Amino acid sequence: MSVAIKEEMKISIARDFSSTPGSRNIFEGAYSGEEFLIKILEPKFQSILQSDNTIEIDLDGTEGFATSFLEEAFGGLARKYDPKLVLEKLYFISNDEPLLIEEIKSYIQDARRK
Amino acid sequence: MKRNRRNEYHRQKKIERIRVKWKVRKKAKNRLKHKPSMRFAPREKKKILGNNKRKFYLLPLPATFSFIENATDTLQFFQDLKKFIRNKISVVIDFTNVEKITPDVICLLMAKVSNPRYIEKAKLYVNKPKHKELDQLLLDSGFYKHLGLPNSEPQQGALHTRKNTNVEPVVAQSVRKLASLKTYNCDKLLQPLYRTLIECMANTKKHAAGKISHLQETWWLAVYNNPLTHVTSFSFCDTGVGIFKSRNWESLVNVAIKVGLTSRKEILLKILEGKLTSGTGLKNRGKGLPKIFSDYKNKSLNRLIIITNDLFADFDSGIFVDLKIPLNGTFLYWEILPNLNDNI
Repeated sequence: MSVAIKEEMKISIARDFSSTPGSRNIFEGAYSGEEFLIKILEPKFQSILQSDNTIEIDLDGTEGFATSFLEEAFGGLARKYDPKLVLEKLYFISNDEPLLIEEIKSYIQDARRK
Repeated sequence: MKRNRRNEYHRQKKIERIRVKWKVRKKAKNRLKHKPSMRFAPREKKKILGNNKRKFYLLPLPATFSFIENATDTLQFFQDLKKFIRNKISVVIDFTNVEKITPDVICLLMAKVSNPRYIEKAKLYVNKPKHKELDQLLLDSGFYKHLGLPNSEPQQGALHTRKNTNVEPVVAQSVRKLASLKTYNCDKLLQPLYRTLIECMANTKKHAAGKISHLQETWWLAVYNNPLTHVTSFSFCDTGVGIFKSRNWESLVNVAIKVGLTSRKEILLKILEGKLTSGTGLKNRGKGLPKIFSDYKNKSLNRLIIITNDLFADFDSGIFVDLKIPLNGTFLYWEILPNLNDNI
């Protein structure tokens, strides 16, 4: 009998990307949500697509997040992939600002609304 | 006979030239018709000018030179200044009789005088204020340095100014650290403050130039810590098109205002509550200003004032004023208080 073991990948935005996240797009300035999506989030998300694994995203330890950074990073991912799948695969930790988690989930759910 | 005709021709030409010359002079005179009380600066003030023999006008400032406390007179001053500049008249900004200067107005002053589109080719000079603390404030801001006064290198005083065209997370971090140290005497994270700074920079980058997308508007930030109260104030401004003019529904709204269906105050409140779309017209955008407003409502930021286009909005006191002289741009002011640290 084989047991499927869920492996959890971890992304700490402060450690793996920057402790000073910027705004939405790369042309606006450094450490944008778009840059985070392209360089960190999407490659890791793609790597777990065919498995049962999830990604733990640690939002603590940064200076703070602009709404545009979070929308572009996580809403941007939900525009490329199924928002339900994104919600299933991502798990958030935010002790500094607990309300951020609900905010990000709403960006993922509303990502495809026009 | 031929000679007479030629002479007549030249005479007529000369008369025409004189007519044109007087027409131009009259036009220039009319432009200056509604000028404020102008007079030549006293002789001792010419020391500032060095060997410059050009004529210049002394433009007095209101006694309370403050954008948040005296927006009407301050905007009048900037309008007068622009009038002189447009006529290529050099101006001495006269601080002599100023009794009060607040850091917010220095932020706006720096944004205006450093904008090549505003200042064109006119030269600016300054009569320093009588009060030493006001003089120090202007020195700290870098205003004197911008005008090229000797020994005017800004010092690490109570006022710090920053500027850029991009979103600068590193600048936002350094400002957060500075504010934290000055207000709470320790280096602590202030996420709402950092977030607000990034949102403001991003708004300037994305929306301040309006439809002229190739233009890069510069944002200015002045951070001031009151040494007595330890309250730190932030003034952020750009000289772009302003919040209302950056929206693609602006013309519709103007009609609605004229008909009396709505007001600027109502529109701003709707933007801040996230009920109106952003300048991009996309549903998932326009969350920056609502986030700033919600941070203000949950007391992470205090005394929020927004001045943009023809609206002055002080949310603490509930004062909303339709300005007769509009501000071309966006101005935000907020404070962080030393004893309200629980929410931050």
